[in-house]
Amino acid sequence: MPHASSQIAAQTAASATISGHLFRASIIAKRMALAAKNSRAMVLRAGTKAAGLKVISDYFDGLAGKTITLSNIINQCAISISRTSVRQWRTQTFLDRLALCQLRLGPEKSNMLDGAVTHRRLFLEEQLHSLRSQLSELKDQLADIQQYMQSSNVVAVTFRLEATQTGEFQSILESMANTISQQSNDIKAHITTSQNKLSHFQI
Amino acid sequence: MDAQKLFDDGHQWYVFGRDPEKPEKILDTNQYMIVDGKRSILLDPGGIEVFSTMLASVLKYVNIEHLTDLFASHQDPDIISSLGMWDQVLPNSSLHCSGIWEGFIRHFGMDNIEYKPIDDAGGRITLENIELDFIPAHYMHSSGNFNVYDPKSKILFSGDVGAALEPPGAPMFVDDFEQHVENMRFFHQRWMPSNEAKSHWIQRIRKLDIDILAPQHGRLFKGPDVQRFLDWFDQLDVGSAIK
Repeated sequence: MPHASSQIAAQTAASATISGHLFRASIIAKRMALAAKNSRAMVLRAGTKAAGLKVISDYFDGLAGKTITLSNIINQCAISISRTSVRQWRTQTFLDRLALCQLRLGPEKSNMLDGAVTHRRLFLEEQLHSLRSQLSELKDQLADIQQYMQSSNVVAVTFRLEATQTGEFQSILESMANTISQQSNDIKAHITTSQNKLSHFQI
Repeated sequence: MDAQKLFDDGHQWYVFGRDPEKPEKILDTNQYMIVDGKRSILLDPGGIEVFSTMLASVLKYVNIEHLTDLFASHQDPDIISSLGMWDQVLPNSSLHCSGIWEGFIRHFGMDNIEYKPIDDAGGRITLENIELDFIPAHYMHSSGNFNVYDPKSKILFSGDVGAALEPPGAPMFVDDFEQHVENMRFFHQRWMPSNEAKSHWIQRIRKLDIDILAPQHGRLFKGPDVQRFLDWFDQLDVGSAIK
């Protein structure tokens, strides 16, 4: 397979992989939202001793909601990239085969295909333009979600500190903070892998 | 890729095959082109692996804008997996194939070419002057399958019927029918699923006046070898995988 085609094939596989990671991240975010709701219920049961935690639970809940929404948007974006890559791949494959055909036809007849080559090259350029803007959008969105997860980890530390004031609820609230922290790290890992995959796109 | 002119009297028939550049493990295929003035039809244009060679070969005989129609006898990859490529080089052409395969064949990629479904009972296409008949050959071997008959040249494109599995470089025409039978036996016994469909097809084909029977693989049958083939096939028990 010629270099350009294999490069695009690798991109197609990479964007499909990113889409897979984002899907898994959104599943974890859903679990995170559930954990946040549970922690809020626990905070309410703990009463005045855990009043400071209510705001933090609400924050987690909001963060998980935003993460789910953003993951879904990013997942759609990654799917679009995958589709654009496939179109680009097919067009490049076609152009590669047309180039071979022109060689076989020789200089006298090869210009019969010039129209098709120009038309498809133009289409390829359009696809590249779309791909560039989709990739830049995806990059920004992945950075946003990574920022959320960074904040989530910081807030989980505060949550743990506040939990020490809640007496018999301390251990259960600490465990909840650990869960949320772990889930944030898991999402971060998926996003980091996606960002690494994205860095391999050469357009 | 070898090209031979099969007929030239007002319109032309070409056969393309025996491609020495095709990847080794790919089954050799015969592609056909009928040229009628400014309209031409490719019969079973072939798989994606032969696309470049095939395009270069046909453009030696016609201008690209005169390639107006494609025909696929059925949906197999060696018949039409190049569709996604033809679709980009011939965006204004039409593909004629059984109506039952449209949703399947579109998986090969078809954004521009118009799909013209052929009814189960068969159909007809007029190029510039000549008429070609789409003859039903269902279950021979595909469930939605057609042959193409040209009454003027008396050539029948028979798709997989009459196909033979042979080493590369075999001659284009059958020269010794008895010897050739062994190249065809397994293919027909194993690929053709139904004795009933076979008899039905033979009955229909015997009514046609045929000079050349042109299959998609292997050698073509000419003159008395056409009847020899029909007689041999009539006696053959097919559908061997379930016996």
